[in-house]
Amino acid sequence: MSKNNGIFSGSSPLLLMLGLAPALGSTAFAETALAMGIVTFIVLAVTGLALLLLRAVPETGKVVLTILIAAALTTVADYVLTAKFAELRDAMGIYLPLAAVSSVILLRAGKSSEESSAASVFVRGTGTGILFIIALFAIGSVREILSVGTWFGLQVMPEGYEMNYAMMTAPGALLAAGFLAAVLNVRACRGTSDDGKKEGES
Amino acid sequence: MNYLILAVDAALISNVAISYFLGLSPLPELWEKRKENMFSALALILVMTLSGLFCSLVWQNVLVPQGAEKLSTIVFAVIILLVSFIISLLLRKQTGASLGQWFSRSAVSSVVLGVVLITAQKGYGVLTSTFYAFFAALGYLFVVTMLAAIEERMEYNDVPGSFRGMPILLVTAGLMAVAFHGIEVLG
Amino acid sequence: MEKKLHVSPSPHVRGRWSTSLVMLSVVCALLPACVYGVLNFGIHSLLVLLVSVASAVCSELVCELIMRKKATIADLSAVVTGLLLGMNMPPAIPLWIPAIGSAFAIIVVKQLFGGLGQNFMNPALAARCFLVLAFSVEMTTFTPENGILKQNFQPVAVSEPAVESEAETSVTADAASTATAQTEEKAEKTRSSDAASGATAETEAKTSKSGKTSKSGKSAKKEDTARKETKKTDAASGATAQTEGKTDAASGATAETEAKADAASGATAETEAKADAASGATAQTEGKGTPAEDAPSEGTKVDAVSTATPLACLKKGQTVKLQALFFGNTTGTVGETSAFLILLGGIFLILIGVIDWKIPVFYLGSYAVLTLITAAARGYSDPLLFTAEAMCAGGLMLGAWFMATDYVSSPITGKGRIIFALLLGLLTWLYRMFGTYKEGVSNAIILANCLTPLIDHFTRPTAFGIDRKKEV
Repeated sequence: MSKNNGIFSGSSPLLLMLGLAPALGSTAFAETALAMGIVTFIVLAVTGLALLLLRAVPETGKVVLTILIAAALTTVADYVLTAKFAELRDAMGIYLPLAAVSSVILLRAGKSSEESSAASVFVRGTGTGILFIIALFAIGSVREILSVGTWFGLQVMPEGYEMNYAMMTAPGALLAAGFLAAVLNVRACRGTSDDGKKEGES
Repeated sequence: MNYLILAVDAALISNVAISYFLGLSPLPELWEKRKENMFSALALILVMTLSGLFCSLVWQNVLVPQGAEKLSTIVFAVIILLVSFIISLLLRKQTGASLGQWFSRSAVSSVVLGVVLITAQKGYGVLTSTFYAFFAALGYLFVVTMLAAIEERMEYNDVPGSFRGMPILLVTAGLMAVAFHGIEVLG
Repeated sequence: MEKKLHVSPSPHVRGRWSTSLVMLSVVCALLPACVYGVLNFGIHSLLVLLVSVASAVCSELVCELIMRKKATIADLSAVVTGLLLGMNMPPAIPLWIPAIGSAFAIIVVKQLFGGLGQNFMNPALAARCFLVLAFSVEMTTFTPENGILKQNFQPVAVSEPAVESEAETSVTADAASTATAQTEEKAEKTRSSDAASGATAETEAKTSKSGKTSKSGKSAKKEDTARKETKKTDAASGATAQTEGKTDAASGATAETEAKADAASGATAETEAKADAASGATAQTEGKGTPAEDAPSEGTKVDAVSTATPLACLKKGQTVKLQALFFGNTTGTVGETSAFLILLGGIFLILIGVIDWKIPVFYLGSYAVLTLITAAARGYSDPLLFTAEAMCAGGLMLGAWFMATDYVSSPITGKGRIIFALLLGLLTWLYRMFGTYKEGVSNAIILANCLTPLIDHFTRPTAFGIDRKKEV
C-alpha cells in the first residue's frame, strides 16, 4: 500500500511490517542481508511471473499455488546457494526458507488493491522487491557497522571502536529496524500533512 | 525436568516473536479483534502443534534418511498447508473467516514454518518437536498479547511523528527483547 | 522513579506536590546511598554519577528541542533517571558507557514514547540491561573498593591453589579472549539469525563471514569459553551465558562456563554448606566479596581485574558478613551496596507519600519467603541468615525501593501492584537461584514492566455505573 508514489513508499519491512522475519533475522551483516534480499527478490519475481500466467485460477487455489511455487523456488535457491556460497547459506539459517513466505506476503500485499494490468502489477511487484533489498541492506549495514565496525568485512569504524554487541542481537535488530523505519517515515510523510500514522496502527 | 526447560526455552528463551522475529506482522490488528482472535489463537496452537508433529515425522523418517534435508522447505510447506486447511475447516464456524482469508494470514504461517524449521534444525525427535511446537505457539501468543497490551496503553501517547506506527512498535519489541534476553540465563 | 501529573493511564500524585518536588525528594532519598558509594569506591564513581546525570539531562534537553516540546528538565525527572542509572554502574566503568546509557534511557525509553509518564519500561533499568547486552565485559567487571572507606574492607583475593588455574584463566582468559576471541568471535553475536544449535553452524559461518576469523570458527567458539557475549552460541557450546551477568560475571566468566549451576567451582567446599567466608575463601575464582576475615588466606592472587560480588558467594551457598552487606562494605555497583542507606531512603519516601509501600514490601517479602524456603530445602545451616544476606546483596534493595516503584511502569491499582510485586519476587528469585547471572533484579523488573499493561488490563476496577463488559 503506497501512501504516495515516492520511492520509499512501499518499503515493506519497515513501513508495513511485512517480511519482517528475514529482515531482522538475516541482517546481522550487510553481506548476508544483501544476499537475503536478492534471493527473496528473485523468488518473488519468478513466483509473480508464474502467477501472472495463472490468473485464471480461483483465489484460494492461487494462494496455495503461490505458496507452493515460492517454496519450490526457495528450495532451488537453497540448493544453489549451498553449492556455491555455503557460508552465506549457513549464515542465513532458517530465514532462507522463510524467504518463501516473505515473497508470498509481499506478493499478496500488492494484490489487495485492484488488479490492474499485468504490467502494473509487475512493476509494483518489482518495486516492492527492490525496496525490500534496499531495506534489508540498510538494516544489515547499520547493524554490522555499529556492532563490529565492519562493512562487508572491511573495517569501517576506527580501530579501537568499542564493539556494541547489542546490535548483533535480537533487541538490537529490532531497535535498529525501529529507527530506520522512523527515518523512512520522515521521508514518506514529507509533503503530507498528517502526522505519520500508518495503516493498521491506532 | 528437561522437559520443563525445553518448554521454557520454546516459549520464552527462543521465543519465536522476539528472538526469531516471526509472526510480528499481524500485530496491529490482532488486539483490535480480541474475541475473534481467541479462536485464531486456538487454531494457531493446533496448527503449530500438529505441523510440528507431522513435519518432524516426515523429517525424521523420510528426509533425513534420504539426505534430502533441503527439501524440507517445500515439504513442510505442503504439510502446513494441509494441516491448516483441515483445522480451518473444523473451526470454520467459529472464525467465520473464509478459507482464503485464513491462508492470507501468511505472516502467521511464517511462524509455523519457522517453528518446524527450527525443530528440524535442532534435530529434535518427533515427540520433542511436537512438544516444542506447542510451547512455541504458547510463547508466541503470550508475547503478542503483551505487545498488544502495551500498544493499547500507548494509544494516547505523545509519540514523535516519524516514530508513530511501525517504528515505535519495533522499538517496543526491541525493549521487550532486552527484557526477554535475561530469561536466557535460565536455560 | 518518575511520576507524571497529567491525565493518562497512571494515577495522580497526591495533589499538592509538583513533579519537581517529587523528584527532588527522590534525589534526596538516594543521596545517602550515593555518597556512601562514592566514599566506598572512590572518585571515579562520583564521575560516573555526574556523567550519567549530565548525559540524561542533556539528552532530554536536546530531544525536546528537536521535537519542539517544552523543555522539562526542570522537573528533575531526567536527573533521577541519570542518577539511578549511575548508581547501577560498576564503579570503574569507562565514562562513555554511562553517558551512552543515559542517552539511551532518556531518548529511546522515555522520549520516544512520549516523554514523562508515557514510558512503559523503567528507563534506567532498560538502559542498564541494554548496556549489559552491548558491553557486557565492562558492565560486569567489579573492582574492589577504592575510596576512603577502604580500610574497613580487604580487597578481595582470589585464593585457593586448587582453583588458581581457574583464577588465572579468568584473568588471562578475559584478556586473551577479549583480544583474540573478539576479533574472530565478534561475529557470533549474531543472535538473531541463528539461535539454537543452528548457532554453531551459523556462527562459524558468521565468523568466517566477518573475514577475520580462523576457519575454525566453530572450534574457536567452543574453546573460547570465556567469551563474553555469545549469548546465542552458548546454547551450542554450553559455553553458556555468563557475562550478561550484571555482576561479576566477568571474573566469574570462566567460573560460569563451568556450569550454569556453578557445579564446577562448586568443586571446592562451599556448595551448599554455608562455608563461612573465612574458609569459604576457597572455592570460586570469584574470590569472595567477603570483607575482612579470610582475606588472602592462601595463595592470594589478587584478582586485579575484577572481583566477585557478594552475590556470587551467596549463589554458591556461602555466607558473607551480614553487617558488611547491610552497611555496604562490599563490592557492587556504585549505588547498590548500602542496603541500610537505601532502606532509609525508601522509608523516607513512603513516609512522605511519594511511593507506595505495597510494592517494596510485597516484593521483598515474596523474595524473602522464596529464598528462605530454598535455603532450608538446600540444607543451609542458617537459612534465615542466608535470606537476610540475600536481601541485602546486589541491587535488590535499590530495585525494590526505587525502581520497581516507578509509578509509570508499574500497575495502577493496589491489587495490580501486589501482583506485580509478587511477580517480581518470583522472577528475581528464579534469576538468582537458577540463572547464570547472579543478579536478576534489573531483568526481573523490566520484564515485569512489560507485563504491567496486561496486569492493568485484568485488574481494572469497574467504573461506577458502567457495565464491565462494555468497557473499551
